[in-house]
Amino acid sequence: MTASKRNTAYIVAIATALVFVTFFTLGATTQFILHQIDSRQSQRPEVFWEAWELLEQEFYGSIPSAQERTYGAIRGALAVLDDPYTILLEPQTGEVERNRLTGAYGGIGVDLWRNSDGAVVLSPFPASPAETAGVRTGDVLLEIDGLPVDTRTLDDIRVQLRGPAGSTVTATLSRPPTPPFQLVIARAEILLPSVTYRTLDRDPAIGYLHITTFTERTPRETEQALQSLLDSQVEQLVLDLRGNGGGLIQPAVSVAGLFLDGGVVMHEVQREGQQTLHASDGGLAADLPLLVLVDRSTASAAEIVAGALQARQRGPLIGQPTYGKGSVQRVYTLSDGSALHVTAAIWLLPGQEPIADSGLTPDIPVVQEDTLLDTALERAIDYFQTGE
Amino acid sequence: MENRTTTIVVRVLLVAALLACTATAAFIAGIGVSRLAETGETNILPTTVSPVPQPTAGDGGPVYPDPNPTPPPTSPDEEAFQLFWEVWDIVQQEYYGEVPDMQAVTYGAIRGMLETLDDEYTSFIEPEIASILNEDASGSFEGIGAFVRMRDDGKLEIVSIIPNSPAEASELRDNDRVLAVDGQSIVGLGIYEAIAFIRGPAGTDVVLLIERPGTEEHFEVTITRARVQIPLVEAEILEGNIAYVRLTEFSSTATAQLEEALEGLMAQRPAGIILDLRNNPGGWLNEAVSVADLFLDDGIVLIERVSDGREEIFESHDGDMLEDIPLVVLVNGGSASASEIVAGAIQDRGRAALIGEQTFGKGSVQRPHRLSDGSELRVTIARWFTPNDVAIHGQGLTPDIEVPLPEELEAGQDPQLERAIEYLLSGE
Repeated sequence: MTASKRNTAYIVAIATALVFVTFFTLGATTQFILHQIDSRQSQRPEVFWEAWELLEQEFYGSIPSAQERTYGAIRGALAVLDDPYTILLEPQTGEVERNRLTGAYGGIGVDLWRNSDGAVVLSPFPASPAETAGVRTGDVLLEIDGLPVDTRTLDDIRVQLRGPAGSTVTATLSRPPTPPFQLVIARAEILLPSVTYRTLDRDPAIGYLHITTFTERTPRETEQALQSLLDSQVEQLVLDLRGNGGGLIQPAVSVAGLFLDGGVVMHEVQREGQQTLHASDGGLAADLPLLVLVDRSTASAAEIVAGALQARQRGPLIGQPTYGKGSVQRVYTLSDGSALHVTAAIWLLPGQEPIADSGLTPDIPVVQEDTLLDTALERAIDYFQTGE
Repeated sequence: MENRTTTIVVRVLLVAALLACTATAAFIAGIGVSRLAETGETNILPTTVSPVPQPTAGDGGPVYPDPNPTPPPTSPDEEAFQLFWEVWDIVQQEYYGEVPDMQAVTYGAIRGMLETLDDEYTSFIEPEIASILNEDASGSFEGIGAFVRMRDDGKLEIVSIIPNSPAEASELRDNDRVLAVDGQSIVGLGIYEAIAFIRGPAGTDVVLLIERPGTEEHFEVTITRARVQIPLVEAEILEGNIAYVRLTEFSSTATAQLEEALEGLMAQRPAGIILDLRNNPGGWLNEAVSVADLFLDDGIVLIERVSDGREEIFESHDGDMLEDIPLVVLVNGGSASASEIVAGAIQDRGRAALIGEQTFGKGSVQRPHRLSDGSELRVTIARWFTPNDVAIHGQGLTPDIEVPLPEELEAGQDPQLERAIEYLLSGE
């Protein structure tokens, strides 16, 4: 090896070492700085713990449990999102909420409506306390616990009939030609059907189908109801979505599909992208002439159904503008039993436009008149009978 | 020759490649070693600090992927607080819409936690507002010297101008609207944000863009900021040689300003004094005690009790110039907190009559804490009681002579003040 070659080798070795040290330090420093930035961010909630501890040390008066303060902190943090639908329901409320979505309550198990004379007509659910006690479809309700029902709203009457399972209610019924009689009915836990249906007194060729909420059982209940109406030879159908505040999305899409023959029901836009939900081909009532009743409290999943049927020109909407809720929540059960609702998406009508804040606009606006008769339903029957 | 050149080029390239590889390897190794060191550190900390066994995993309910697993809780409180992170992880993953930054979320969480205390006086104040409020509570600030309010249309309006301030020396007038500060629009900002723009170190200039009702063109006003004393006291001699002194707040300079004003009034040997505490929302506790002391001889001013029953007694002492002169204190529903301490002591000790309306009824004491990011937490730490051990929280003080205001008051009319003068002149 010549001297110059050895020198070159030394130089290369030293240069390599220098470069190694320099870049090693550089690498370590970079990571250190990155870590500092990172930990500064994660330390921000420190202010929270400072406040938490100061309160425990100094607050005058009794301080709520750590759990209650945590619920408070969660409510406060969620409030920053400024989204009324992203909420935490604490365990007790969460339980009621789940009951509502599974559809259970204490009552006697009847559907009720007013006939054209204004009388309150009953129809017991199968195997319900009402049916067991002897109530038959078509019985007219006169009194509850001795108080006449004639001037009360249907909602009031429903509330009167409900109560804790095991308690009793006395109903006075009329079933001409039998003279009015009383039945004592023990309330029980009722699995609330999300769907009720009947043929209309004024025109038995018109079926009436009322969906009150969208639970997991709703598509099956709707299908059975439709089948039963079709079996009774109805030629037209009123789909009532009034007072339906929504519920689960997937069942709503399935229900919309019963009235469509394939095609788009809605689009769901999440942070990661968009998804289109379709109706299955050959819905059971895809060809049945249809009218949809809506009102102010028709919201969310119910608006998806009404919106799809309107956009797909399946039938006119009758009633009042709907609620106008274009967001979709996911519900999570947390480790302590609370339910967290998070707005996880917005939905779009089949034509890709979002629902307006003012809701869906009915094709035929109808205001409830000051009468015990159902103005919108009467209007729907007129529409079927006159074609306008 | 050509062959040799090629050899050299190849060698140089080889060396360069070697150096580059070394550099990259070293850089990665540096990052790796540094990260290892950190992980070691964070692993050690919680285990040495934590005396609590690991919590058991929650049972039931779906399991969610955890993007940033939180460290094991180190106290029962933090264990209870895990639910917060459970919620927030879901929100960060799922929420459709913008997730606010951690600071806003933290402040929201603090406010939510305070809500559960059910005490409106325990409050959280964000850094920007805290610094303005603290400066104000000190009795002076560095700025231009104008009282402002935020109009509904988002424009900042000059309500009044403080005497002897830079604003008074400028072209600024009452009812002017400030649209921009140093070229930056402040329309639509929160009032404290807007104030923060206008304030600044004494000696610096600030340029305000002004809209004046009745004047077509907007115009600029340049003002040199200075330290401005917030006037807390109004003093004058009324008919019948009655001294009138009004205190608007109990900031740090309240006693000093009041004393100075009273010295001027006393020089005129008044027949009596009216202390007006109407619409005075309070301030510092020690200022309340020293203001009360101006009018009271030896005795109790208030008793303060903390949660566990321990008490502290605040007293007044002999030797002030106003301990004997006939006195009347004016109060109303806007007299709160420190105002009620002063009025309550004067009433209980039989020093003077209260005239006016029932007071507000705030009998709690807050301690302000500066948090690490400059925000402030005011914690209710005690209740206070009058010298006769009467609680006024939620009750207020009942005046000895109640003088309600008529529904419609003509401008310049003040029946409560008139009654006070009459009382001092007639003795009843």
